[in-house]
Amino acid sequence: MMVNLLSILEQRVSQTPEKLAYIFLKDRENQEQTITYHQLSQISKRIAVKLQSLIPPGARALLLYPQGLEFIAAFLGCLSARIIAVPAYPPKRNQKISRLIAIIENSQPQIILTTSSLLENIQLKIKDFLDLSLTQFLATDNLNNAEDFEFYLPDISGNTLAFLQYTSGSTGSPKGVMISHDNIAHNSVYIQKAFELTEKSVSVTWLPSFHDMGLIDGIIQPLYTGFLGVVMSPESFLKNPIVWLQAITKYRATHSGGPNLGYELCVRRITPEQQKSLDLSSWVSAYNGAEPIRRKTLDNFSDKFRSSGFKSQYFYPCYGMAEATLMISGGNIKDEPVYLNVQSESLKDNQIVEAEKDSENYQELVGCGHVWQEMEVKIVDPESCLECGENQVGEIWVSGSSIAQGYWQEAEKTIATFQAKLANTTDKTNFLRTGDRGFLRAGELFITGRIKDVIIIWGRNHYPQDIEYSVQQSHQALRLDCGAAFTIEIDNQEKLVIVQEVERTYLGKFNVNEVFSAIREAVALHHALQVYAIALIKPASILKTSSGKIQRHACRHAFLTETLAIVGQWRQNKL
Amino acid sequence: MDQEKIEHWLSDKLANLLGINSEEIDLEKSIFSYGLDSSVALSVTGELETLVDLELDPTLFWEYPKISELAEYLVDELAKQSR
Repeated sequence: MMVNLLSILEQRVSQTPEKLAYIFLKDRENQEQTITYHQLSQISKRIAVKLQSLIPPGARALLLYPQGLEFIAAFLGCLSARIIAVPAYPPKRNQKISRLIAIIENSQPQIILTTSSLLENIQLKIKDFLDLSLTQFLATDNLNNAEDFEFYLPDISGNTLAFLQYTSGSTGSPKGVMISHDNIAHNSVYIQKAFELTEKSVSVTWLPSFHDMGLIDGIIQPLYTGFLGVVMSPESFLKNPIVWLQAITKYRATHSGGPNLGYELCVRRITPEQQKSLDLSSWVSAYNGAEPIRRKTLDNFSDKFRSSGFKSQYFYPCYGMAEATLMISGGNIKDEPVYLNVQSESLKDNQIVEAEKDSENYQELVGCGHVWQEMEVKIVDPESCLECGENQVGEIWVSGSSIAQGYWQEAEKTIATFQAKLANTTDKTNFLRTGDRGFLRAGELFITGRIKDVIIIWGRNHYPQDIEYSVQQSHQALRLDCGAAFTIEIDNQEKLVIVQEVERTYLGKFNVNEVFSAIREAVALHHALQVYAIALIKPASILKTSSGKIQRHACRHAFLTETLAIVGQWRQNKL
Repeated sequence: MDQEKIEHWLSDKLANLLGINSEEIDLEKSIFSYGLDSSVALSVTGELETLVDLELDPTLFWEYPKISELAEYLVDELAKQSR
């Protein structure tokens, strides 16, 4: 029989039915909710039977759950019924839902699954955007369908789609990455090998389950390999970062990680007093991915938590993305992270030259390990599609069985992104174009940035043109198509900067503070991002190419070297 | 801890985070309209817990996005605790 997540669950039920599959830590009062393999199988089958009675196999179900066990059961319920799961985040009160609506429009779910406590609120918020004759709602946490229900496992092959992982495409067009059962199985084995996970491992995650890292590593991996998965909400962590490290201490966790910013928050916000109770010596893989990885953050974290039993070799920098199910590369578990300082000047020309020891103008890079098993990585010139030479930066292309099936209902984008072929070779392999820039050095993969200008904050991609548009719409004094949004690094974090031209007719006649506040408000409202600095500049002074495209890198350089034609400037205080 | 004191703490905090004068903060306006992102709102919730010594829901700022409402809610919660 073919191995998939459902057969694995059945195997666990027959071998260790009473073993705990997951523990969910509630935000309040340190409450634990637990579920055994037997319970998980029963509840997910109950949900599957209900789904089978309501919608046909292959239909989509949108999952709008708070972090927790209900989500896990519903997700497995969908898979068991051969329904394609579409995990997304339930809308908060007073929050824009344009992204959720775009996901609904693209995935066309026949049913929306949630908990009974959220059901009414969600119905109220999104019913105006749905064809209610085609979409049903179901709360899955208190189903009481037939006591002795009979469940039939539908015919599931390796190619059957399991779920759609929506990625943050530009506003209004999120893309649903199609993940098959084989993709899940391949990437799960891949992660298991790379991290040397066993049934004795213990994972703690605060990463959101609707996100690829939270789902594949935080939820699916513990079940796949058969170890305990401890789950808490991202909100609990953000509110009080210590709860993450307390959970690692309490459950003697071995496998836990997140984006760079998560480690940075621990460095900043955990007090020496709080730290006293921590024992992090059980940790084996403190993985760091989804965002640029900063050596400074790793150093600060190691220094701060050394007295709590943390060692720098626990760090595990890695690279991956939803389009590859999750993991693409990572190092050997016992090794220290690999660091490389390269000359900034040659990096601009896509050449890698190691920086001299006493050099001042260098960039510090953290290696993201190597590929494992049958996964293959090529560094390719994004224009010519020719493979790059040693020490040359190009686009990272990946092939292997973890590469997803494409984007849901997006044939053109699927061909462009998932079916790239190398030029000038007989190699007919399909490659995934990652859109990331990087290079290989002695097998180690280094990431240097994005091909397109994409702003990555909290592991989410934001497109500068979307932000620039929101800025320009926020106040009449601002010129259309004459602004740049980019990030700069402040205290190891990516911070958003807006450079924007003012209309000539408004020069000297507008209330600068009013414009600043309009810009901040618009960016927060439409993108949930905080602006770090705003530079209003003279008309026709923004840097553009001869064809009229905004030169964001040049604007960033001018901002940093203070060579912009400023008419008004604002900068956020230090946190 | 009275309403005014909580409002004051919140406006100071917000002004400080955003780099604006606390006089510019309108108690009747949503804090998100000033450009506060959700991770920062959650960290403020954490600090607020310490200030009022109550366990607070992570969705607090989304339920009560205006400083005046939020302070009022907290005063009520504090009163319930002392009863």
